[in-house]
Amino acid sequence: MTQVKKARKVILLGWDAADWKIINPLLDSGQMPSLAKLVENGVIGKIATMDPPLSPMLWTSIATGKTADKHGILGFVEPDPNTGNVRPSTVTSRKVKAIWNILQQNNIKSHVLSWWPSHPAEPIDGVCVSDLFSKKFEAKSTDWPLAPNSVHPKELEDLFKDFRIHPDEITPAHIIPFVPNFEKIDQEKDQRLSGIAKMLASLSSVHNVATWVLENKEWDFVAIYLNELDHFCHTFMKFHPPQLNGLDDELYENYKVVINGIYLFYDMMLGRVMELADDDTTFIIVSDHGFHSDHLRLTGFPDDPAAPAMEHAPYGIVVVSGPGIKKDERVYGATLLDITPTILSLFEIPVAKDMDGRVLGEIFEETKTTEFIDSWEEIHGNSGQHPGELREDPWAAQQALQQLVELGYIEKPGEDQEKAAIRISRESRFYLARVFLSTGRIEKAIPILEELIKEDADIVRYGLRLAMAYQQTGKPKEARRVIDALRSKQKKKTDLPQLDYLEGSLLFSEGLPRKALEYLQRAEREVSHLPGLHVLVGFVYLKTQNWNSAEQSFIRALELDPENARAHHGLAQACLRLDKVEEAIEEALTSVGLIYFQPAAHYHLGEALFRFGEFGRASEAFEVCLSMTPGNRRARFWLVKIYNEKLMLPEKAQVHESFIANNMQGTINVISGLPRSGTSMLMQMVKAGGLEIFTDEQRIPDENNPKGYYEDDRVKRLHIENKWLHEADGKAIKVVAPLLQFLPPGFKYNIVFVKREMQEVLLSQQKMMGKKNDGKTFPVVLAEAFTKQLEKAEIWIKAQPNARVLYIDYSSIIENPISASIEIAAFLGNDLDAEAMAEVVDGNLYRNKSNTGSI
Amino acid sequence: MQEKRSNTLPEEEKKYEIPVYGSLGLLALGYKGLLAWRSKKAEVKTKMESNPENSNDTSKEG
Repeated sequence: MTQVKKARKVILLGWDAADWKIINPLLDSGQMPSLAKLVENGVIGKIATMDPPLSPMLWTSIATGKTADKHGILGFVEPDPNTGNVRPSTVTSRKVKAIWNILQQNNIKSHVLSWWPSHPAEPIDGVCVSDLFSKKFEAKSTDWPLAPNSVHPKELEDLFKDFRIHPDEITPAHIIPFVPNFEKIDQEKDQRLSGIAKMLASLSSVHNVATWVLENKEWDFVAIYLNELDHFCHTFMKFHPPQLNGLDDELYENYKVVINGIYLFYDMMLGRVMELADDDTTFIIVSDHGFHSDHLRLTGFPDDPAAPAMEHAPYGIVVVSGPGIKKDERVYGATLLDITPTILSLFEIPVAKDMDGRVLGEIFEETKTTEFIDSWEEIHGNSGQHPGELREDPWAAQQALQQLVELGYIEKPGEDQEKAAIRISRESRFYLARVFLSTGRIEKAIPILEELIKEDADIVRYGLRLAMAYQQTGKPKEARRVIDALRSKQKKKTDLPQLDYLEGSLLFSEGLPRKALEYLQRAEREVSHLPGLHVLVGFVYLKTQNWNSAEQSFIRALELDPENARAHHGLAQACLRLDKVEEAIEEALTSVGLIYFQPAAHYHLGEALFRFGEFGRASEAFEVCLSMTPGNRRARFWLVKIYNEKLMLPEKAQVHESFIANNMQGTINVISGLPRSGTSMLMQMVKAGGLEIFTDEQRIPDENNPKGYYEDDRVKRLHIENKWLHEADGKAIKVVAPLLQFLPPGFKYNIVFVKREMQEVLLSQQKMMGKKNDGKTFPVVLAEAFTKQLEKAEIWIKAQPNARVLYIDYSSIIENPISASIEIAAFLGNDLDAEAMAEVVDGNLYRNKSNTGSI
Repeated sequence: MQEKRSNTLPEEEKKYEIPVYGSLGLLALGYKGLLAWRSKKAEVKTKMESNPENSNDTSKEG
């Protein structure tokens, strides 16, 4: 064992499903005074949940700092290896040490109360009551045995047995604060009051043990998990104000204060725990996910065993308050995986490298140095874990199972238990695949999903995830095969929008945004309540440079889900391109506030701040982006520009300049403009000046371009394939304005952009296509479209820190070839021969001069 | 390590009569609230059993 200085005491409170959306108004109105005290004196934030959002899996991640594939708890239930039946997930299935096991090995006295899952109670050097302790109710309160192995040490069984409260003991006095009109309710028809009694009884039973432990046992660390808030939410959130459309008025009136009521009761219990703790105690309150309490509340569930989890919101709460913790501050980007490393840091114990979370170092008043070891799993000694599989009382497990069935979390097992076990086993593997998908280990998810599809090809959710996995790993053919198979098997109309959504996503990833949009818009017409769908549509619009439509799509997504970080990021980009710089800053800040690890959002924040003239803050944003993706060359270009030109810090710029010099693929000279604006002439000029031209010479000169086109056919497919572009390093290449956006970021670009009177451009184009024009009629629609293309190209250029641009008028070249050539030669460098360039300018080719133009 | 605390109700809680039907406040108090409430219920039950005439008098029970 390692001797470590015990720095402080810690109480970890697990409030399943707690959500700031409910808490904030209660704090503001002074109805949660205990929590308010911690909030005012500590750090608060939103904490990102994980996928799949299943509580036993999440709480084990909180307690271990590890993802579910490592810790082994893969859902609410698991097959019983002894009987082949199904049982609630047990702690004996946890494959790694929990925080309390590590603390025990460091002489930190710990107690664990009702963690989920924690049955059978772990033999730690402290008190442990399992999640079955408070869940097992007999029909009568008399002779009410404890669930076997739910209390450790056993000598506390008799005492704790009497700390339990049976639902029969709950009286109207307890119910009135939740349901003031309870007397009007016909309890024969409406069982909700008995549900409240059960939940209050269970909750209070755990709280009773907690208060006893705090008063009567030595402790350094106490973990108390309360899951009834989640159960209250699943049952009563539909009655929370504002009243849902179609909800019966009487039901609404009867139950509209239940949710606020349970939060207030939690605060009362918190107040008591705080009274019993010493002043040097650090409190950590955390929830595993939030709970939709607004228009995102579900009114029906799809056919999915874990469908109730869809009521969970993606962000829970985290509050840390105590000595050495900053006051009245916020923490951003926290995840469930960060709790265990942070507690280890509080106790000055090394964090294991095999943990997936990080220490929330920013919450500390003074910078802490985190020490690391490879893994706590390798450290031997008594950790308080079970020595091996314990035989479990099947009756007690059955009771808990029944509760999960009643709550709708799991399917009611059929009569054929074996079949039920097979189904549950499949779901567990499906959840494992989702863990891999959500943590970027897609290759590991694919074989699991392929196996599941083989076993049951009718389960649409398996196919949807597999198609997504194929798509993300660059296997569009396989993805399409799965989608086609799903379409052929499609049994329910409700599956169609999902398939369209996926098909659209696939087409988008294949570089076919317009085709993608057809499917996505069809899906939008069928299901308008999916924020992710609107976000994807928004990104398609961004890709097609349709900034206004993109803005609208992201706003639609945010109306459904105001905390959608991707939507805020997308909206920031749309605003940036629409020159709404302040809005762009606000949206980008909101996005990184919700999910910190978004290098692209930090990048766009930097760009927006630069445009706003906040150069110092812009440099900070780009530096954050680089800390997350050090290879981002465009961020380095911006930093070079800021440090050299705005902040006058050349030594800082030098670092990035060196990186760019060592990592850029080259410099390409781009001749651009609208088709028929004089780009071919520019190509001739730079060639004459001595610059090598990049052309495949496939398009031969004709009467429209008698001196040649100087094009390369591959440029047309730049949006699909650009690996060949390095061949253009140091040369001049023609890229028409609409294709500029597809130039990849790995090169420096010197862009000479030719501008020409729109009427002249159109006349020339029409003539080239064999259309006659008298020069008097003007194709207004075409002109508008091309003007937009020009605007988009200019916006794109403005956003490229690795691109320099010289705008030059076609007419000025014709008017004064030598002056224009000198200007172009100076811009491109390479000692170009300006005189030779000027010589190739042939004023006779100026055949489509506009009536308003002049030579 | 923390010293053990005494198993008595805090001073301010002694000032209030324990309602026989219980309350959320008592539940929030934890095991001490539970013990005090159960004790009160037992006391009232004994009282009622010994004096059935008062069995309907709950005016002082909170």
